[in-house]
Order: sequence, then C-alpha cells, then structure tokens
Amino acid sequence: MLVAFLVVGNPAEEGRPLPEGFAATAATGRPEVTRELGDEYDNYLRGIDEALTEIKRAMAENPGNERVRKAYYRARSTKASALDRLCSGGY
Amino acid sequence: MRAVLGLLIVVAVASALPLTKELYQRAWCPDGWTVRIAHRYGEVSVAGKPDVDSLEVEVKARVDGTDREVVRAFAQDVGLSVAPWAETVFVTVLYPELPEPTSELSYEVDVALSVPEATRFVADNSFGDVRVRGLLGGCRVSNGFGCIVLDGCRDCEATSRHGDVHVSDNTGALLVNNSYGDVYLDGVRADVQVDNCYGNVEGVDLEGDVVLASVMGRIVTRGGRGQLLLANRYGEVDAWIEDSALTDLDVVAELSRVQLNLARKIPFQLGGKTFEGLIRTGLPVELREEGPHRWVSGQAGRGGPKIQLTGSWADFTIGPDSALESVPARTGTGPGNGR
Repeated sequence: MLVAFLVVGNPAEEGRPLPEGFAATAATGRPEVTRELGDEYDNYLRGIDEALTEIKRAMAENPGNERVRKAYYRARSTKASALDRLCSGGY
Repeated sequence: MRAVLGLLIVVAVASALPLTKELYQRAWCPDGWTVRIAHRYGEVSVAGKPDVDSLEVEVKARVDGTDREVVRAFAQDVGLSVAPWAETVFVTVLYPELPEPTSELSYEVDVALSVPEATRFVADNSFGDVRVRGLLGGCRVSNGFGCIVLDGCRDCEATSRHGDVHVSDNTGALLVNNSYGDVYLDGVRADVQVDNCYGNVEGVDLEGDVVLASVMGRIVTRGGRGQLLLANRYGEVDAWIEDSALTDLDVVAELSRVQLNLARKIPFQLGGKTFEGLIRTGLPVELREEGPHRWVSGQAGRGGPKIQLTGSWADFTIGPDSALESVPARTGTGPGNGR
C-alpha cells in the first residue's frame, strides 16, 4: 500500500512506529491532498478493472459457475457506483 | 397410473443435474508438517484436531450443464491427489481437460480437510470461501473472490482481494492484507497488523499490540486492551474506549473524521493536534489553536490509556457522546472540515 501519509506530527514522534507503508511527511496544501485522493480513486477503479479481467477469464473457463457470475455482477455494480460518485464529484 | 407417476419421479430424480461426485483420502501428516492447497472454484474448509497424526480430505464435486454426457464425463474424471513431499502434503483436485470450453458447463468443488492441530496450513483460493478452525501451527490464506474465516487459530496471515475477512479468537501474530472486502476481528489476542484499502475494518475486544491501517474504508473499534494504533487516510474512524486496561491509543488521520468515545469514569491522558481540522470535545481538556493548527491536551483521573491524536485535514470529536462543545471553525478550511 503506497501511502504518503500527510501528517503534522505522528505517533512515530511519540515513539510508536507507524505501520509499514505509512511515511510521515510535512503537511501539504489542499490541492495536493485533493489530487492524491483523485489518484487513490484511480487506483480503486484500476483494481476493479483488473478484477473484471480476472472474472472474465474465469467465465470462459467455468461459464455456468454461480460464484463467478455473482462476482462479475458485483464488480460491474461496484464500478458503476464508483464512476457515478466520481462523475458527480462525490468523493 | 400412480405407480407410473412414481416411477417417472424416481427416474427424474436419479438423472437430475447437477451430478455430484465425492472423493476421500487419508494420509500420514504428523504435527509440524505443512498442508498446502491451491484451489479455484468452491469452498475450502480445514479443522485442526488434537491427538491425530494424519490428515483426511473429503471432496464434493458438483458438475452441471445441459449436455448430460458432457457433465457425466467431466464429473467422472474429477480426481484428488494427496502427495507428501519434504514434510509438506500437497492436496490437489484434478480436473479433466475439456477439448473446448463449453458455455453450458459449470463445476464447483468443496474440499473439507481434517488435520493435526499443530499442522501449518497454506491455502490459495479464487472463487469460494476458505474457513480455518482450530489450527495452532500457523496458517497463510489468500483468496480472490471469497471470504476468509479464521476461528480459534494461532499465527495467521490472510490476504483477501474482493472478499471479507473474519477472525475470531485468534492468538499469536495476525497479519491481514485486505483490498476491497471488509475485515471483522473479534476477540483477537496477539500482535495484529491489518493493512486495509477500500473496505471497512471492525475490531471488537482486541488485545495486544494492534495496528489497523486503512485507506478509504471506515475503522471501528470497541473495547480493547494493550496498544492500539488506528491510521486512516480517507475513511472515518470510530473508537469506543470502555476499558482502562487499554494502555495506548494512537489515531492518525488524514482527510478523515474521527469519533473517539470514552466511557465515563475511565481515566485517560490525552494529547493531540490537527492541521486544517476541527477538534470538538465535551471533556474538561485544554484546546488551543494557532493558524491552521489545533491542539488538545488534558487528563482525567490517574493512569488510564495514553491517547495521542494526529490529524491532517481531519476532524476529531472526543468525549462522551453528548454535550460536545466545539472550537470555532476556521473559514476556508479543507475538505476534512467541509464534510
């Protein structure tokens, strides 16, 4: 998980290590924070696209399998909802 | 007429699809050995048993389709391999090769294993749940589109991409890497590390050194003892502190809302700061603000958990649920304040 964690002070300063992948950096402005959130949404959507590719391969291999079909409909629905939120500026 | 109808019904049931095939194997597997399975369609369940030195595998395959001959041929050729090699037992379900994929065929195989409780278990599944119960030798489970359920195990690692992870009564180390599903932890006593991306994380009665980190999901914890670190980037954090046996609580949040609920009469030591965010509390603690920065500090009683809050574009609400006071909001602050 690539997370550039924007904090002003952090538990590491108090002697407690942050989870791996969390890097404490100086706080940044709102545009940077908003852009990073947009990047995260891109990652989110990319992950769903990868899932759909994997599911389609499974559908070719085992087309009638109910679990595979459910996974396909769920991924499609998740992607549609995410795109809807993104287009409406709701993230 | 009735006899004819009865006969027809019996024939219909006997030839009904899907066809099922059951397989069973037993193999020597002393404590300390590893059992590995890579599966694709269907459930995998494993139960640890005391005082046994062998594993048992039961396989139930269901094959369905419109062409009965194809279904029958496929089901007939489904097999099971249990192969020991270098203190590892490989469990594999064998599928026949289809001359060409047919859109009408579907199959699914459930695998149930019973192993010595000190066995180490490694499983990889794609479309189906993986359930592990009573394994003390450690387990590593990864799953694509099904749930992972760990109950009464020790030293576990779970990697889930699109399914939920449920862990209860776990001891030893626990590592959960989760992408899109939700994570539920109940009665986990150990060193816990959860790296979560887009699902929610819910922890109840966690004990030990616990780290719950998330990107977009919500983190909820209730109760707990020991040290707890909650780090969330874009999701909410809700923490209920009901027990003074919690020694440390660190909350790190960015572009988030954090709700910290302290049970009345619980002593605590509180410190926190946020950048471009609000701190609201009904507790008798000191609040300061300077430019975009805000601080909170104070304590109640003696001892109790040491609570440290750190935020960036994050709002914190601390205290008993009611009678919350607010530091005046800054104008033109970031999205963490606007939500």
